[in-house]
Amino acid sequence: MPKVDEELVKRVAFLSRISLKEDEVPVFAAQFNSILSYFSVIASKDLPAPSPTERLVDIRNVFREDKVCEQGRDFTYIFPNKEGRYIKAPKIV
Amino acid sequence: MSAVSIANGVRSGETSAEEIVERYLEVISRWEPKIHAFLYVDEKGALEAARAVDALVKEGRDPGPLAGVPIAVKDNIAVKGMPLTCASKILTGYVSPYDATVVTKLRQSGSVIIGKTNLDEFAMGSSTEYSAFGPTRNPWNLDRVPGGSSGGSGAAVASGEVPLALGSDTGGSVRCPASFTGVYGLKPTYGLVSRYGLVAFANSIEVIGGFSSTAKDMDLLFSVMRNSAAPDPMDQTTIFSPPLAFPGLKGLRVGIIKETLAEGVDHDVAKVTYGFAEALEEAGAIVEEISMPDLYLALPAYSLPASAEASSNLARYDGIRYGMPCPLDAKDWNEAFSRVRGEGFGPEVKRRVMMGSFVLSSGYYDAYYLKAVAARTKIREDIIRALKDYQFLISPTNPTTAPKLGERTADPLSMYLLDLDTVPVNLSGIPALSIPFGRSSDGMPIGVQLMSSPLRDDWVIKAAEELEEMGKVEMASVVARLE
Repeated sequence: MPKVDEELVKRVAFLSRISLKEDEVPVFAAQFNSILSYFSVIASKDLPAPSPTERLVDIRNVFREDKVCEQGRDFTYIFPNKEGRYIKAPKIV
Repeated sequence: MSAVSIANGVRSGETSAEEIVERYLEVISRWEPKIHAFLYVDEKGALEAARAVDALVKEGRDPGPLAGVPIAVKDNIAVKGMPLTCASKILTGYVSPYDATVVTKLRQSGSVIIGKTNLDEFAMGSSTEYSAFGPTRNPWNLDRVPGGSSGGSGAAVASGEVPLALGSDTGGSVRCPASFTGVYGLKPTYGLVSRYGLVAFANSIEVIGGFSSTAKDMDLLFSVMRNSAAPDPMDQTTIFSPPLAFPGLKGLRVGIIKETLAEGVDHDVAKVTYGFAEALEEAGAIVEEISMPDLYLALPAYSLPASAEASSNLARYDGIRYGMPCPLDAKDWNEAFSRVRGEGFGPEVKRRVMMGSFVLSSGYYDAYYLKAVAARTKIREDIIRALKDYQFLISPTNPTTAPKLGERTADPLSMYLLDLDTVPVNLSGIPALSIPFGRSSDGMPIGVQLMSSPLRDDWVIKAAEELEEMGKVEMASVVARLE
């Protein structure tokens, strides 16, 4: 079972795009170790390789006629940063 | 009042929906300072909807099976024109531009949507303490949690603020609060109720479910929520089925799962569960103890894939399109996203999203994610096999009664352990009903979980109705304690 150290927490936080305060890092490291040590029961269980269950209902394509419905109209009011009908985002170039 | 009696009264013109709604709004204003079940109450909208129902009755038209029945909706389900917060700061300011399919069905059935209820942030938790807007308290004892994550809905029904409420159940989030607050909580068969409009956390296992204070009310609510004649084109994972006739408890075989009553289970919880088994026997069912030795795998088989799905589903919260605005002075996208998510998400959401990124990252994927989904197959096969021999399975809903506020938040694992008996149901997609069946020596409610095969949702509800009619389910009132 890998030991989760502070470096790993920081790496996972970056992958998750979540900035952590310095004092959060050791707390999460300790909690992940506690949780993963309990969950290690699955690592030691010898399971035959059945087809993994990732979903319960077979997904299939559904086609329907394209039409404008009421909820497709004006939703620009939900943009948090905006100018007119445009979304404002940080300048990146 | 029961939902059945309200709907009958309103449909026949004996009572007006407006009077009913006014009465419930008064109860809400009386109890809310104590329990904080609601995040939003739409007084004006509810009264308008009630008047529209009354107008239909006056015209001699039928407003529908839930005519005038006030209903609360968990705040991770979209109701047009109402804030949708998921109890998270990251959705600050977001007002839903559309209705979830279940909400559309409720409106068409004549019910009155009264407001949005509190939850653990993004439905991640078992106590409603992870709400960014403060916890809900258990109406039976204000020092105890109401369970979670749909704790607001459970507390609202238990305290009589509403006769019915909607919740969502990913790993027990309807059944846990139902059990802790002494009401009924239904987790339907996966796919039988549309998830369109439910904010996704772990979409391969979660469902929208309901709360009621009687089994008959649950029957009525579920008849409106379910897909009876067609799947929902807005949700590709939906299925449909007409209601299935229930033959009655006499002669049916019931398996009581031994492992859910082993060490670590409260004495009172075990006692009430065995009492439930006896009641089933008195109704003519044949109860036998069964063993599922691999059930201990259920918690990791649930938690790891659920976290993986959460890390993907919650990637959409970027502060660009809705909710809390991302900082415009960030030097790049990574910094903009990371800052708004660091500020907007609470501790449990951060934990689960990071856990999900961890189990999906290279080097850990095989050891954790793939192992967990294989364990999920094992649990599912064991349960479905047991349901070939037995028409019902029973277990406690939770291993304990409601913990005190603050008792489990410091140790996330202790919080996860509350879900031990509920997660196998989500992993296998079967229906389960938490039935309020007794109380502990210190007066807290205890729920028992009745499970059946996929699509036999009506069976679990009708079985509970049969026990209710036999006088086996004690209907206690919590209101006296709140006064």
